Amino acid sequence: MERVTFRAPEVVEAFAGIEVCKLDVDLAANREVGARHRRTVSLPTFVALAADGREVHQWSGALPPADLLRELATAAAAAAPPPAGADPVALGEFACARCDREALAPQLAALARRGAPGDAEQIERLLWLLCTTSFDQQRWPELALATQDYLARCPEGAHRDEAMVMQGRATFAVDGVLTEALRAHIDALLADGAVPFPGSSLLDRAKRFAGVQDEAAERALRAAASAWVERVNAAMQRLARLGPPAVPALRRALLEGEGETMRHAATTLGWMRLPENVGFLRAQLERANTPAPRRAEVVRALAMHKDPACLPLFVAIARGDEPPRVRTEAVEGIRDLCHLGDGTTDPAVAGALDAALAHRDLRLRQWTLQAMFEVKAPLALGNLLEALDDRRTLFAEFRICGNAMWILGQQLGSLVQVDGEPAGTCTPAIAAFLERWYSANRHRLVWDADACHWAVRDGAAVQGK
Amino acid sequence: MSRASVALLATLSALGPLCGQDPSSIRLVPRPPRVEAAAGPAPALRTSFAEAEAAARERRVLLLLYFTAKW
Repeated sequence: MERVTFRAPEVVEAFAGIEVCKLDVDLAANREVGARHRRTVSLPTFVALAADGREVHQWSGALPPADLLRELATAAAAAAPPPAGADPVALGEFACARCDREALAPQLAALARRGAPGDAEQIERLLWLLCTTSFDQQRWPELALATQDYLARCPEGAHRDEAMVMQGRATFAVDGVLTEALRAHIDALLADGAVPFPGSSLLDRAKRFAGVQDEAAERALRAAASAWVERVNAAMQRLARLGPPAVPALRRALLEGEGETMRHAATTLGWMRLPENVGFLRAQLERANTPAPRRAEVVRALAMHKDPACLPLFVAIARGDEPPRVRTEAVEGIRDLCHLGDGTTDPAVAGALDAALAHRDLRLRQWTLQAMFEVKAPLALGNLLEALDDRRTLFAEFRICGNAMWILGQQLGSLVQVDGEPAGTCTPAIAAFLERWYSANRHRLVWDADACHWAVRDGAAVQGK
Repeated sequence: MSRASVALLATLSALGPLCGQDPSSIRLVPRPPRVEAAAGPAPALRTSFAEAEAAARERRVLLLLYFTAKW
């Protein structure tokens, strides 16, 4: 976005007429504004606020200039306040957008007095809109009053159950009590997240193997899989939005649940990024009897917090003798933390990744090489050369050996060229060439700390045949 | 050239493409400095929510929050 869309002349001009604030969600300073205004874990997310602080529009995803301008126009239209003599519904919506219960009251009264067809429904809609806006913006005292109003005036309303859940959230914020309605809601969301992925039957798989699969059955399975993803994601996002009241249940699911339950709990705790969960997760890793799949999920959840204080722990796990799946999650944590700091020159990180690359596990190697992109300290070139012979596929045409070639090139401050063009993939011929080059030059290599790569000691160019 | 030599050469020439490249065409060259594509000047973005909020209120303009992360 910043390199292309934001630099388009029409976008530069549009930005000059507004204020734009870039907020890195990984910075602690931006956590509160993120919790208040960001509804999704997707990035980038844009939220437009009117000058009076009202949230008027929100969207996610990178857009080309024309689409970005269209979203800005929508935001500008929504930001304009209604004229003083506008319909009570418009004035009521305006009050809801500001979570202004006092300003909403006279509009509700006006609608009640008018009593036109549909006005009773509008009253309920506006009362509910105040609830959802207060909830979305995490304005707990306002939410407590809004849900109280809704339940009092619409005891049989369409959103009664949801209002009770929201009221429970406001109650928890005020006095830490988990209401029965909120507890049941959290349990229902956890159950949604635990639904197993819809798999195909043995017969379907046999048919597919034989090339006589039933198209209709395949379509139905794809639709069921999409619905599952949507349902599970929605449940996890709602749990993450609930925040602290959902934490005890999620911790239980992580420590006692199996399969999807455990994995989704880890993801949701990771999305929440609550500082109090860091200590809890670290404490679980001190227990020696936790089975590897659960330890891996605990490390994954911890890594998602991107807490720099966890780096030494991840380094110790990555270089230790834990099962590969646990080490892989620690390596991902190292990668993310190093990326936050524009790479690392820490030799302990380099050493841990060297040790991890020596393992043959495919996923551990894959993520170790990803993490090595962030390393500006000397890596063990012998390990990388050995990985040049690992032609296992990662995805599409990308292989372990290709990534190893890139890291090796980075470590040497060089590029591999074939016929004058940068090599995109590592062939056996390239691997053999690099092994020969290394054998001929290994004793003359010295680490250049300023350039952050190895250099040939006598100053000769690194090129060779 | 014997028939066996011809067969060997034919086999080797067939294997060549499978192995990738002619080894003599492979080189290790210094990595060129990374150059960002010039797509026009970057607009100035605030990074403090409090400052941006105050500025938007003072100018009475829209405030666009751009949530992102390093990738």
